[in-house]
Amino acid sequence: MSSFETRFYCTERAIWPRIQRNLSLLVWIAKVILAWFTQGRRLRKAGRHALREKRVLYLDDLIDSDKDD
Amino acid sequence: MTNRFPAPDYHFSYRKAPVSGNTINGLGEMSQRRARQVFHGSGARKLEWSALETFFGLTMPLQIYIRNALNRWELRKADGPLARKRTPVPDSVKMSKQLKSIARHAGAGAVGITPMTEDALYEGQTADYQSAIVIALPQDYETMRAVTTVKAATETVDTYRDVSRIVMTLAAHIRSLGWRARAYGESADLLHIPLAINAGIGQLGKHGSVIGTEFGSNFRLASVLTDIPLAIDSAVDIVLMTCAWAVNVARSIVLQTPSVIGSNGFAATKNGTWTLIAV
Repeated sequence: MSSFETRFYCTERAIWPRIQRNLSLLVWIAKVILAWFTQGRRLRKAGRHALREKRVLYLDDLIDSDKDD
Repeated sequence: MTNRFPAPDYHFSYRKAPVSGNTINGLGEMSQRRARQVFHGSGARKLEWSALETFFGLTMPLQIYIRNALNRWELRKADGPLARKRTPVPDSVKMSKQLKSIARHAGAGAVGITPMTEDALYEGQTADYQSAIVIALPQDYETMRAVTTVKAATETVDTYRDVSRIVMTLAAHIRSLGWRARAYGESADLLHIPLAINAGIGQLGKHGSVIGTEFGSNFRLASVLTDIPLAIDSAVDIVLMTCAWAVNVARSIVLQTPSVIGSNGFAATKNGTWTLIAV
């Protein structure tokens, strides 16, 4: 795994590495936003149901902790 | 605006709870070691509590989530190429004043400078810079009184974005002088709190965060790491400051009206002498 700084900070003067960085960051942000509409929708729905039915929502049943983003 | 506090019994949990944050960060260990990210990680290590972080992230309102994403897009400018010609800095005090002035002009609430130390880095991270410029930006007090509302959460995220913009402006200015400078915002490889304490922004509170001299705990931090020569600020002792203030108030109470409890409830007189009952 690597941090946000390691992945997206760019000190090179040339334009191409910065364009590459911008593109990869855009893809990363698009995936993050997509996750809100897909996985997030499922989680929010499950959370609402758990609240309504007064039962506990187990996160390890719903979210794969071993999966890297 | 109505505060809606969550129920004490959460509707979410783990079947098998991950190792606690106290264990991750060595509660009870006798030798000093660097901190490990527990929550709001930078991505540098797989968090034990990543499922909870994912749950919180993906169940937050869209307007807050989008703001976080925009902050990430803006942070791409946190580092960049240096000017080809380096401007010499014969007077580090003058340069510190100049950079603090730029930061305040950009909106910073408090600015402090401290040497960059290893304890401000998470385990496994490196950042070979000489010093850190720490910026504190206050959140709107009235909005934050309504915490747990979306409006207050939005204020928090907006403050993170604003303080990130300030450190990016500062870092860009330093790089334009030919010196390395990298801005760090939220969820960074950097621990802002030890730097903020050493830079005189405030003192470590029992709640694990900084109590600032100017804004209490109602602020967000960001930092610039740089090699440009700077004058260093000193850490502050707020307890000492508060005590000195309380002593002065208590003395004035004694002089004016013996046997009175101070309006702030911390000073009382007893047989013509004063006693601090709480600080």
